[in-house]
Formats: sequence, C-alpha cells, structure tokens
Amino acid sequence: MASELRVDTLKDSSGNNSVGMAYVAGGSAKAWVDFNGTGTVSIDDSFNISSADDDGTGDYGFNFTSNMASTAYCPQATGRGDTTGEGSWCSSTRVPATSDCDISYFTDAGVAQDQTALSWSNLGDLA
Amino acid sequence: MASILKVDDLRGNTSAGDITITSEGGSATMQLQQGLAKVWANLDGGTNTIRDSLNLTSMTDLGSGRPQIDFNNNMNNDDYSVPFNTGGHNGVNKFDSLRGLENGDFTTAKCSFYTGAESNTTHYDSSNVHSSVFGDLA
Repeated sequence: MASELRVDTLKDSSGNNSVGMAYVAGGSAKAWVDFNGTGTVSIDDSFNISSADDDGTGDYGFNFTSNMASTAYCPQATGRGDTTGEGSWCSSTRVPATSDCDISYFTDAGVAQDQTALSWSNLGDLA
Repeated sequence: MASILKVDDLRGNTSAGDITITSEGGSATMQLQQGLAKVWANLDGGTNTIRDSLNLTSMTDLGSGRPQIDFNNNMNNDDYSVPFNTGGHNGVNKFDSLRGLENGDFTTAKCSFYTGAESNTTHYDSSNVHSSVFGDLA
C-alpha cells in the first residue's frame, strides 16, 4: 500500500544535516540523459525523457515525459565529438520549451558535429 | 505548522529505491532517487586538487588537460550522464574551455574529461572543472 509523508524539513537522527524539502525538490535534476548522437541516435539511459530527436548534424532535441513549469530552466551539457574526445568544443542550448529542449554541438572551427557520447541534465521546476 | 522529520535512512515503502516526490507545480510526480546527483566535484586541474565534492575518493591526473574523477560508491553501469564545464587556464578565464568526455575511460568506478583552451586543439589543465553525475548507483 502506498504511503504519503508530508514534511517540511529532513534531518538525520542527530538533528544535523538539515535540508528543507524545497531544496530536495528544487535541487534535484528534473531530467538527464546519456545519449549516442551518431548514426541512428539512441538513448543509453535517461530520466524524464520520452524520446530524442536527431535534427541534423550535431543538432538534437530531448522531449520530456513530464513537462517543465516554464522555459526558465537550467540545462547543462557536454559531449564527445570523436573517439578521442577532441572536437566537442562548444555546446549551446537553444530554443527551450516546456516540453522539450534542443542542443547543438560544434567543432573547434564552429562546424556542426555529431557526438559519440552526450551527457545532458536539467534543473528547474516541473509543471 | 512546519514539520521536521529526523531520519538517517530514507527508503521507499513498496520498493526501497523508489520514493516519489510531487513537482513544484503540483501537477506531476518524480522519483526522488533518479533526480539526485550521485557525484559532484569542484576541481583544480592545474594543482590536481579537489576543492569540494560528493562521493569522490580522489582525482587522478592522466596528463595535461585530462582530469579523472574516482567514485567512492560505484555507479550501477556506465550509462550515466556527466555534464561538466571548465574555465581558467594559467589564471586566464576562458569561458569556453569545454573539451569533452574521454573515450574508453568511462567506467562504473571513474570517468575522465578533456579540457582545453579556446579555439585550440591542445589540451590544457583547467583551474576550474565543475562536474556532476546523474544515473544509477550500484
């Protein structure tokens, strides 16, 4: 049987290491993904991601299962551009929406580049 | 009235590894454990020191611009997410000195990065390496 506990603050049994539930909820990632962005793109593992889009070379979109409350969220990312890790110079998050987030990757020279491994996470408020 | 729960160990009732919390907006729920960072680190890649961290035993210098973080409690698999950013080389802030994840050294016990300076393919130590790990603990 499911049980529900309503509490404002969590502490350890000694009364230390206090954390408010607002920090537990607000400080938790609302989505993350480990992603292969070459060939037929695939999600290795994820949280709150329903699907991923291949929108072109080095250009991807992640669709949320549960939407964000607004577009004012905080996505973070990195990647691996080739087998040695070089070339995944720049990543930029663009066109955020409450239901999905796009990201683009480039080489040192600013040329769009697919990523053999991509890590992405998102902090913010769920709807 | 504010309430405080004093506890050392939180576990799900139905499944120990599954605790649900309600979203900020109130219209969705999420699994608490999946949203928690399992590792985070603030490193100085120049002096190879850990300024502060969670769930790290050490960092290893694999070479110039190649810091490795070694986990205390291992991950369940290597399909975890490691967003990171870097900045600062020889005291000069270079905001875009992100390089990428290192291939072949991404295990349940550790992972490593390449860092560098802007518009240059050479790897440089970065004085500020900020990383987190999301995924499943073993």
